[in-house]
Amino acid sequence: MRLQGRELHEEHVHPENISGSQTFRKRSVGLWTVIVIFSFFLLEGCAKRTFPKLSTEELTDRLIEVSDTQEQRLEISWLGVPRQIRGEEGSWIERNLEKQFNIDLKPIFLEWLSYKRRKPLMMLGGEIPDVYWVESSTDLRRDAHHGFALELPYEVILKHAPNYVEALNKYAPEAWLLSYYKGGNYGLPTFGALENGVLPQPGVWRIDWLRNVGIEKIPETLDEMHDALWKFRHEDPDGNGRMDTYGMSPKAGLSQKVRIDHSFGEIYGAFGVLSAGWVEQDGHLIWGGILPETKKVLAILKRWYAEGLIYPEYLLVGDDPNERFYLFTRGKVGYMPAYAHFDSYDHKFSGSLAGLMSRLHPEANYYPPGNFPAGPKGKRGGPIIGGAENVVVFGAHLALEPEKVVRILRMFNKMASDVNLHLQAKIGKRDVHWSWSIENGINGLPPFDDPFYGSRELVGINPTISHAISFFCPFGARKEWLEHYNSNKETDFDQTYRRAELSLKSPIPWPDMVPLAEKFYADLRVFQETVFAEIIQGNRELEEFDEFVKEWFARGGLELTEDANRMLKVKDDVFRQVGAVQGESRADLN
Amino acid sequence: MTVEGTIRKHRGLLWMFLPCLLYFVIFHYIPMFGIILAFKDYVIGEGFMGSRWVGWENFETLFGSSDFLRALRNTFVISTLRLGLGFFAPIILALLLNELRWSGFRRGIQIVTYIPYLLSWVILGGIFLLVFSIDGPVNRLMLLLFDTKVRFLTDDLWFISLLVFTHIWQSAGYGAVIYLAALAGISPTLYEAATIDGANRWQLVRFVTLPSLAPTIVVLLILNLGLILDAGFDQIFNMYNPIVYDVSDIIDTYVLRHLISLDIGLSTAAGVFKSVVGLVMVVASNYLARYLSGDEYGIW
Amino acid sequence: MFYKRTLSGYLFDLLNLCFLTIVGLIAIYPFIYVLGLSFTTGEELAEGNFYLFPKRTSLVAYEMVLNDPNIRNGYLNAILRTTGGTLATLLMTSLAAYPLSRKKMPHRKKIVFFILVTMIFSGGIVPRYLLIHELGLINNRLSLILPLMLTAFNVIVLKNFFQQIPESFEEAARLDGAGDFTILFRIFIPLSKPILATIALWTCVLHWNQWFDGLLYITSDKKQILQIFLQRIVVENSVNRIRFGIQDLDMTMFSSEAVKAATVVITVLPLIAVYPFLQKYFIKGIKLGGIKE
Repeated sequence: MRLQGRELHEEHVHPENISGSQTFRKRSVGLWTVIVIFSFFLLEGCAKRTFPKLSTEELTDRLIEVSDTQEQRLEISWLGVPRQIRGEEGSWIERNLEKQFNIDLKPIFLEWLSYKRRKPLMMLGGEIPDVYWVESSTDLRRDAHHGFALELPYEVILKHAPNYVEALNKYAPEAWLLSYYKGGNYGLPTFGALENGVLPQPGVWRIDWLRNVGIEKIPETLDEMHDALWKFRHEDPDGNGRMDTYGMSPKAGLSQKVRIDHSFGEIYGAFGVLSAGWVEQDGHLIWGGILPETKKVLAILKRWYAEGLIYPEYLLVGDDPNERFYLFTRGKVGYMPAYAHFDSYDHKFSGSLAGLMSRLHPEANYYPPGNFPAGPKGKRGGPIIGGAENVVVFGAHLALEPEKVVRILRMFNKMASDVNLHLQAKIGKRDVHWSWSIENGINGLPPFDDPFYGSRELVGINPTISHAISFFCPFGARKEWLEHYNSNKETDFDQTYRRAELSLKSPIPWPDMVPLAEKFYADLRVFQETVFAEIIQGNRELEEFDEFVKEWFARGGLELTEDANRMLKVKDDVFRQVGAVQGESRADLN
Repeated sequence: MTVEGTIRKHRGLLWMFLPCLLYFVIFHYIPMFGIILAFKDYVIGEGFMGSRWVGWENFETLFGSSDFLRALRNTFVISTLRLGLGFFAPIILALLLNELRWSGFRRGIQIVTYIPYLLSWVILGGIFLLVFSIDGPVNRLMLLLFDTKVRFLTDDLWFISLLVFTHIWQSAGYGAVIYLAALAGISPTLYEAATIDGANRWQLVRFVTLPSLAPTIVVLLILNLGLILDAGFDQIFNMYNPIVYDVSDIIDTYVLRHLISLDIGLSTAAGVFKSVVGLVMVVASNYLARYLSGDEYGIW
Repeated sequence: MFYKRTLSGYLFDLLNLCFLTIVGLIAIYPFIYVLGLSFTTGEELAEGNFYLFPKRTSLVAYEMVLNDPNIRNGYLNAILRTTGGTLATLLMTSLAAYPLSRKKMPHRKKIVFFILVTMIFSGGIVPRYLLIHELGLINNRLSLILPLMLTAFNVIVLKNFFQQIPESFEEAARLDGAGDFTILFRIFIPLSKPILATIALWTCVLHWNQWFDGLLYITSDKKQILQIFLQRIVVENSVNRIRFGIQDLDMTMFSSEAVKAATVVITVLPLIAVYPFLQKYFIKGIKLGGIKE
C-alpha cells in the first residue's frame, strides 16, 4: 500500500547508482549553492529600492529651493482615486493638465478592491508611483513606516501651495491629522465638500406606508418611530397579505467595506452619543462605544430587533448605493437613513434614490430627509465625519526629483484657486463635455453623459463637482463655486433639508487618526462591532456590555484613549504650524 | 564513472529533464528561502539585508496576540469538524452507492454529487450566499416548516455549521469516487466465500467490504491529518463576513490580512508555523499508522 | 449479488434509494436555483415566492453581464490561460516524467524526493510574489501559467504510467536509431493518450477555477480573469461600483441577485457543459491519481 509510486521503493540498487551518489552529492552541493545565491538576489531585489534618507531639514531645504519655471517636461506616474473603473490613459482631462503644467501623466487605474489588496503588494515589489492616493491614516502610517511615502514638511506645502492650504484650513483643518506620522507630515491631505460625510444622515420614510398603517405624521421621537416601525412589521403596510416587511435598515457598515461604522447613528444621536468615535467630555476624549448612553441605545435596538423591526441580516447589506438602497427601494423596509445630499434626490441620476423610487414604486411617497428622532431628553442628531477625506502621497524616491513634487503641488494650488481649472480637472470642458443652467445645474452632454464613453474620455464622469473622488483632482470645491453652479432645486433643497446643527462630530473625526490605532484599533473595532451585533441580535445579554467595557480597556482601549488625548495636543501644534484656526468648522458653510 | 561520463552518457535524458529541474528550483525552492522573513522585522524601505534580525520575536508576538490565538483556535475547531464529519460522509456515500442495485441510477447520483467538486469556491460561495441568505429559499422553507428564519450567515454557530455542511456537500461526491474505485477492486471470491459461510448483507459489509477499504481509509486519514491547519481558505474567504470573524478567522485569513497591512514578518511567521505543523502531523500520523498496523499501512 | 433477498433487504434498498435520491437533489438544487434565479425579474424576487422556476422570465441580467466589457475580457483571458496552461502542463509533465521513468536516469529516486518535497513545503505568499515580480511577470498573463506548469502529483502519475509501458517498445525504437526525444514523442505520448487526457482535464479545471493568482499578479482589468470579476460581483456585493453615478439600467427589471446568478451561470457553463461527456476521464483521473493498492 503506497502512494502511487510503488516503483519508488522497489528500485534495485544499481551499480551505477552507487558510483553516482558521490557525484550527486557534489552536484547537489552545487545546486544548493545556486539556489541560495538566486534566493538572495531575489530577496535582495528589494534592497535596490532603498530610498534616499534625508533629514527633515535637508528635505525641506531641497524642496523649498526649487523654483520651477515649468520649462522641463516631467513624466509623472499617478495612482489616483481607485474608483474610475473604466479609466484609460489619454483622456481629455489628462491631456489638458499635461498641457497646462508641461507634464506627462502616466495614470494607474485600479479598481477599488484591487487597490485595497493589490496596492500593498505593488509597494512590496517596489512599484511606487510618483503620486498616489491613500485612503486613510492607517494606510499612510503603513507606507511611511516602510519608507515609500515622502516626508512633506508643512513649510514646503505652505510655500508652494498656499491657496490649497488656505482652502483646506477653511473647510477641513482636521484633515492635517490624516497625514501626520511621528511628528512629521507625509503628503497632502484632502477634503471633501458638502459630501455625504459632512452632513448628518437623517432618515427617509415611506409616507404611503405610514398612511396605510394609519399614521398621519412623520415620527418625531423614538417612541413614535418605534410605533411606526412596529406597524410596518405587523400591519402589512404594502397590503400584499404577507408579513414580509420590516421596519428599518441602518446605514450599512461592515469593517471590511467602510472606514467607519455609523449604523444606527440617528438612534445613538437621540442620546447624544457617537458609537464609533471619540467624544469630548469635560475637555477629555473618551470612546463613545463604552459610554452608558450606548448601553441604553443597545437596549432599545435589542428590543427592536427581537420585535422584528430591524432587517434581520442588516449586517450583510453592502455599501454600494444599489445595495444600501436595496431594502428600501424593494419595499422590504419603510425607513432608512440617507444622504442629505441633493444627488440622492435628483431624478436626473437614475441610480439615485429618487431615480430608483420613481421607477420601482412610482406610487410611493417618501419623505425627504431632515428629521431625526428625538430621544427621551429631547436630544437628536446624527454622526458626521467632517471634510477630512484622504491623502495624496508622493513616492519617497521623489526626494531625488524635487521638481516633480513642486510641480504637482503647484497644480493642486491652482486647482484650489482657479474654478475653471478645477472644473476642467473634474468634469471636462464646459459646453463640450457638460453644460450648465440655473434650473438643472451641471449636466453631462452627449455622448459624454454615457457612462461607458464618458468615463473613458473624462476619467469617470460624474456631473457633480463637490466630491473628492475625482482621479486628478481629489478634493472638494470651494463653497462659493458650489453656490454658483448649483441648480435652483439644489439650493432650495440645501436650505430646506440640511441640518448641520444636528450633526455630531468628534474632535478627531476618523478613529484611526490616533497613532496607536495601528496596534489596537482594528481589533477593538471588530470586537465592538461583533459584541454590539450579538447583543442586538440576542446572542448576548445586555448585561454583557459591562464586561465588554472592561475588556475594551484591557485590550488596548486604555492606551488608545491616552493616545487620543495626546493627539488633541498634536492637533493644536499642527494647526499652529499650518495656520489653521482651532474650532473653525464647516457649520458656517451651511 | 566520472561525472562528465555520466552526464555525457545520459545527455538526452538530462536535457529533457532540465526544464523540470529549473521549474522546481525557480518556482518552489527559491521561494522557500522566504521563511527567513519570519525572523526579520522586514521594513521594505530598508531592504532585505538592511532589515533588522529579530530572532523568534515574530513568533513570540504571534503567540502573545489574542488575534492569532483566536485564528489558531478557529482553524483547529473548523478543521476538526470538517475532518470528524466530513471524513466519513464519502465512505457512507460510497457504501450506500455500492449497495444500490440499479447501476444507471448509481451512475447518475455519482455524476451529480461529483459536480460541486469541479467548481471553485468563488462560484460556490456566491451560490451559497444566495441560497442561505435571510430571504433565500432555505429560509423561506424554514419559515414554512418551522415558522422561523435562521441567520445562517451572521450567527456564529449556524455559520460554522454551514461551513462544515457546504464542505461536505462539495467534497463527499469526489471522496466517494475514490472509495468506489477501491470497492471495485475487491475480489468477488471474498464475497462468495463469506456468503457460503452464511454471512448476511450487513455482515458482508462489516467483515468484507470495510476491511478491504481500511488501507484507503488510513491513507486518506493521514493525508487529511496533515491538513489539520487547513480550514479551507478558499471557502471561508468567499463566505465569511466580519460579524463571524470571531469564529471563522483562520490562520490563512490572518496571514493574508497581515500581508496586506505589510506586517510581513508576522505574516510569514504564521505561514511557517502552519507549514511546520502540517509536516509534523503527516510524519507523526504516518508513523502511528505504520506502528499500529505493524508496518502495513502508511504512505511511505 | 451473493446474499439472500429478504424483506428487510428490500426495505433497505427502498430506503437507500430514497436517501440517495434526496442526496442527489440536495447536490443539484443550488445549481437549479441559481439557474432559475438568473432569469427572474426584480419584481418577482421582491414578492418572495421564488423557489425554482421564475413565472416571468427576463434576460436583463444576462444582457447586463454579457455587455460588461470586464466580463467579456475575463472570459477571453480565462480561455487563454486555460488553453495555454493546459498545453504547457502537458508538455512539461511529459518532459519531466519520461526521464524519471527510465531506470538509467541517474539519481532518479532522489530527484523524485526533491519533487515530492514541494508538495508539503512552501515559502508563503510574499517570496512567491517577489519571485513573480523579479521575473517581470507582474500583470503578465504568463504569471498565471508558468507557476502552475508542473505539479509533483502529475509528474508522479505520468511517470508511473510510463513505467508500465513494456520495455520492448523502447528497445525496438532504439534499434531503429531513435533518441529519447523521438521515443517520448513518437511512442510514449501516443500510448499515454488516456492518462494525458485526464491530466489535461484536471489542469483545465484547475486553471478555470484559479482566482487567487489573478488577485495577486494581475493589475489591469484588461488582463484580469473571469473568476476575479465573478468574485467582485458575487462575493463582494459590488454589482455596481459607480458611486454617485448614472447608469443606464432598467431598474424595474434589474435585481442584483439575478445579476449575481447570471454571472455564476456563465462561469460554470463551460465546465458543466463538458462534464457529462468527459465524466469518465474525471473519474479515471481519481482512480489513477488517487491511492490504490
